[in-house]
Amino acid sequence: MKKARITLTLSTLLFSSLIFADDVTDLTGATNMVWLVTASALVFLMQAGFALLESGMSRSKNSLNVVMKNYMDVCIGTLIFWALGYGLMFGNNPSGFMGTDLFLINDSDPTTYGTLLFQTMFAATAVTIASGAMAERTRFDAYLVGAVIITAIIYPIFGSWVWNADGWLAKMGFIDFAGSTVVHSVGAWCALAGVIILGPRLGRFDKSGKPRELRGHNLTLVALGGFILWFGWFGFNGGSTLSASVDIGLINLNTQLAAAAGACASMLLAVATRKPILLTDTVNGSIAGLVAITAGCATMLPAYAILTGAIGGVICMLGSQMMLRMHLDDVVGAVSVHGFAGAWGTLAAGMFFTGNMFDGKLITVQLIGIAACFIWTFCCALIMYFIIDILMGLRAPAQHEQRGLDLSEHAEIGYPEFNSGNIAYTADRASNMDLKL
Amino acid sequence: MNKRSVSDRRRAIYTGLQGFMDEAAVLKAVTHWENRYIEQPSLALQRFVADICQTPELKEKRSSMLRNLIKVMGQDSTTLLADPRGSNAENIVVNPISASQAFAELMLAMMAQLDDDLQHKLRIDLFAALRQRQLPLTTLEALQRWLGNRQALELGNAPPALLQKLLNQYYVLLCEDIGPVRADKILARGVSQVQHEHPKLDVFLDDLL
Repeated sequence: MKKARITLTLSTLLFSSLIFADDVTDLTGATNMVWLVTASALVFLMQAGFALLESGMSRSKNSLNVVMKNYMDVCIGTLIFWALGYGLMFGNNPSGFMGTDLFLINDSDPTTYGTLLFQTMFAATAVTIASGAMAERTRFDAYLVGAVIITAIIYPIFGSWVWNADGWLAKMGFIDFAGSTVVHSVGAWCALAGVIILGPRLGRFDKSGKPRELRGHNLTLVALGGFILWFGWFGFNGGSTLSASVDIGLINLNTQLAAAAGACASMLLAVATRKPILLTDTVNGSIAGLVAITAGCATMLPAYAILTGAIGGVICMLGSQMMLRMHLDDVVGAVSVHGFAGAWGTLAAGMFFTGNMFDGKLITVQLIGIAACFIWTFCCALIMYFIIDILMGLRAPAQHEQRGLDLSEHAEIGYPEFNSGNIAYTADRASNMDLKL
Repeated sequence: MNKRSVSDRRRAIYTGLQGFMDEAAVLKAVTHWENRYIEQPSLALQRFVADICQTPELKEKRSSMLRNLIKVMGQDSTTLLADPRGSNAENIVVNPISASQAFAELMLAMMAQLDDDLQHKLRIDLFAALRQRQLPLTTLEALQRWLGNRQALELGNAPPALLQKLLNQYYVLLCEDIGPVRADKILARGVSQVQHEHPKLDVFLDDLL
């Protein structure tokens, strides 16, 4: 009798522990999914940050056009990435150069749905980086064609090299945890190609080549955009764990430290060079810090995150000046923020890798990845924008630049009730104009 | 189609639109044709019809309207209605005196905001830019006389679309010389001045901007 009672008790314990284990597994899976979807929403919010920042840095007559580009980047990016991009990036990848299945995902498992959602936000982020750089003189339809090709081909193919387990860079041990290179540099090198094909805005440089200041119309929007981007970055980096892990603490602490260090460093550089401390430079410095830490936020200690962010801020400032010296008109500084700081951050991820600092082999792999990204992305984007320019015209006509792209591309005015007297195109005038061009 | 005179083509448009809309709407559509399609081939009639058929009722009549316009365009001029711009309208496009007056006044108002040296430089730059454009000879000569000798600007037969391009050319030169921020201000002040000093010309500014 006693023996039977012991057997029964043991059986009950074993059964209940099995049930408990299933519950724990379910709970962990659900928690992971909640975090992944929440992080996706945070990354989605970054689009609002980009829209505010880029719109604020543009002149008022072009402010809506910039926002429209950001808005449509999300919409187009979402559909194209679902249809084509995700498969190219994460599908079965025997060659190491691109995925070959998982297109048009419809019937799949919950983890794939969550990952697709999260990665869609990343694709939209990559494609929207170009909009600010090319602001104020790009035809809307031509820009959207470029956005489709970036989301469908340029971004996912490079992404497959790094984030697909069978990608050739992934196999070499290339580190880019959340996308300093995969997302930000890809966007920036596309922007650089666009800026080169477009040329500068009318009158951006005087006849001696000296840049003229074309101030953004609302710096409060710029600051607000910076804050929202920063906030969204906690999802961007923290969500890249793809699970609710304890690592998120370090990842987001590093994110916060690098952003702060980037802003402080850009401010200190302004002080050291006896230049005014501009809000735009400071906000860009913090974003450069965020971009820089994105690659190594999970694999470096906080002190190095500060160093990475600070150097990212300085590189961003110097990069912007270099761009101007080369007569490249990047309206919001996207190339220096996302490209130069992204490349630096990717290198820093190799240099400051916890437990294997300054490993020559790792640093070499990082440099190969950075170079591969530039060569693939810049060349593809340059050819793409060149062809778009020939076939449909990338640059808006001078008449559109005179009117402002809000009016000429969308028949709208950003601030119809606030006429500063500096623009001939008032709301009353616009309503009488024949805007079919 | 372009071998026919401007007046005959305008009469054909005017005739072809009868019965599809009221008189005011027909005249408005004729003005739109003058502004945008006067120099376009007959193939562009399809876009013209799409432009003017914005209401649901007109959209339903679009194909029949297009067919009618194409038919009327091929008819003998004796079967067309009279020119809505009057019998002396052969060389007139759309209220030319007022449109060109508005252009001249706006250009003068913009130039007056610049110092003499810059005004002179921009006149020379505009002169050079105009020579590169394939402008109608009469327009080019009138502009050259105006820019070179400061004679009165006589652009009686220049369509508003051309004047708009000329204004934009001047805006581009302003952007290059003094920057787009100042160029925007000069354009805005010029428009404001014309509105204030010549209120009757205001309606023509819409076509120039």
